[in-house]
Amino acid sequence: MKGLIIKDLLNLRRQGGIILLLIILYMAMGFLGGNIAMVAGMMMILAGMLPLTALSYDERAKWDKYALTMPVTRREMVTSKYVLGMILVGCAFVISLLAALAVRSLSLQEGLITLAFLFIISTVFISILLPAGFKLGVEKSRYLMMIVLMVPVLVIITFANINPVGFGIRITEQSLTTGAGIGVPLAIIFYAISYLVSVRVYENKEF
Amino acid sequence: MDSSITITNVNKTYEGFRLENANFTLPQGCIMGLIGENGAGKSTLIKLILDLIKRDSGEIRVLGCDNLRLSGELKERIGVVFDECFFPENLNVKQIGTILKNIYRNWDEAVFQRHITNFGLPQTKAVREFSRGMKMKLSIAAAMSHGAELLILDEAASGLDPMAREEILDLLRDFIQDETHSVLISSHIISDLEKVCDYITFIHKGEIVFSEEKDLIKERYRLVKCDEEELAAIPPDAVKGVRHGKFGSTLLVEADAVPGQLTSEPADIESLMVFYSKGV
Repeated sequence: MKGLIIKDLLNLRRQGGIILLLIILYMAMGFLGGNIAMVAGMMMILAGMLPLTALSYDERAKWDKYALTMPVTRREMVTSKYVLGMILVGCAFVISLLAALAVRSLSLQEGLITLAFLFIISTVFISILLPAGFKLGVEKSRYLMMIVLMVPVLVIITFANINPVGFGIRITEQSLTTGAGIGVPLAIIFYAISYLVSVRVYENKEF
Repeated sequence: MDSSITITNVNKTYEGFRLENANFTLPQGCIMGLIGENGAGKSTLIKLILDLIKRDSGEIRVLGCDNLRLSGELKERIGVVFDECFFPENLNVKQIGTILKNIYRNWDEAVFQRHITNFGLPQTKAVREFSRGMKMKLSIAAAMSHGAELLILDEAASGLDPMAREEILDLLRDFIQDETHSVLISSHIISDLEKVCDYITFIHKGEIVFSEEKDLIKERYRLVKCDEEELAAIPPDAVKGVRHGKFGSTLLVEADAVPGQLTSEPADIESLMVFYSKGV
């Protein structure tokens, strides 16, 4: 399994240059503007997308058919992708947190709340895309990715147009903290369920 | 003698294809060649053995174990080479070595490097830039570097030049010196298989026509050239295939049914396959 994750990281390294450039660019903008929400958001979305990219490399090389002849179980093939997702999201989280602390534009609590919501988005993102990728292939899942990406945008636009107070929801620091407190464990549970679904899909796959 | 692979009454149905009641045994210490026309079911059979596809019924035992329950430890002992190289194409030999070292517990980097050097493969060039021959050599090097006892090669030598193929056949001959080792190899290039195989399994339209020792097969059938009149003297049951030409017919006939007065020659595996496929 360690070998599988090394393989994914080596594969993704090819995109490393561009990603690094993006991070530095956004980071610079964040530091100048005193707001790291943008760079944090960008990194989290990237972390959410890269497991599918890793899957696409496997698909192109038909790696799975070959890997399954090695001492690797089908379950481990799936597990490695979810562990990769955790590693990427974890890295994005830690880097963003350090950047937030360095900029000090936000209090620690504000920073954590922002990151918590970003964490929820990227985890849910992976949870939807990986089973889809295993089941439908990466090509079709990319379309799904666009839809999934559009949902939060639409939600925000809709909320901006309607006065949230009218729904009895008032966005306060208190409600955001509660939201994050409920959302993070829910996202983790969703991730676990997604993993089980992927294992199920993968066990029945023929190569 | 223990067997490396035993297939008993295996069935698998796809849309438009059916593998029916497949049976064969590959004894330890032997090389078995799997022959058959395109789409006959060779790859299906190999994928079934490796549990890449699910069988509908029957039993497959690999290295003494049900193949649906192959543990990691058993898979360590199997080396597989497919008709293509399935390594991520952006990686180089060094990186692939690192990956495999972390997958196979018995990975022997020294052996791998020796194969790489012998094959003359570059260390830091991306696999994407390899020729077909180089890719196959890389796959073979990988399959032979973790102490495998059973090698399974699916059309691994196709598309290689004769020199490279001969090199690979030599490797197989070396490999089989250890009598606990065995090889299952499918190929279109029957002359190659005829050189190294102890057993030949012939599969035709999803059915195994025969699976036997090569020498026995060659003794069993003969090619007879004759005209219409002489043809009548041969019992029709014994005729396995006919080819009509301008100056008479060539028949594939069971050896003991060939009438004494007719001249015949031993059948090589290639004509056996061609005649069988065309039928009577």
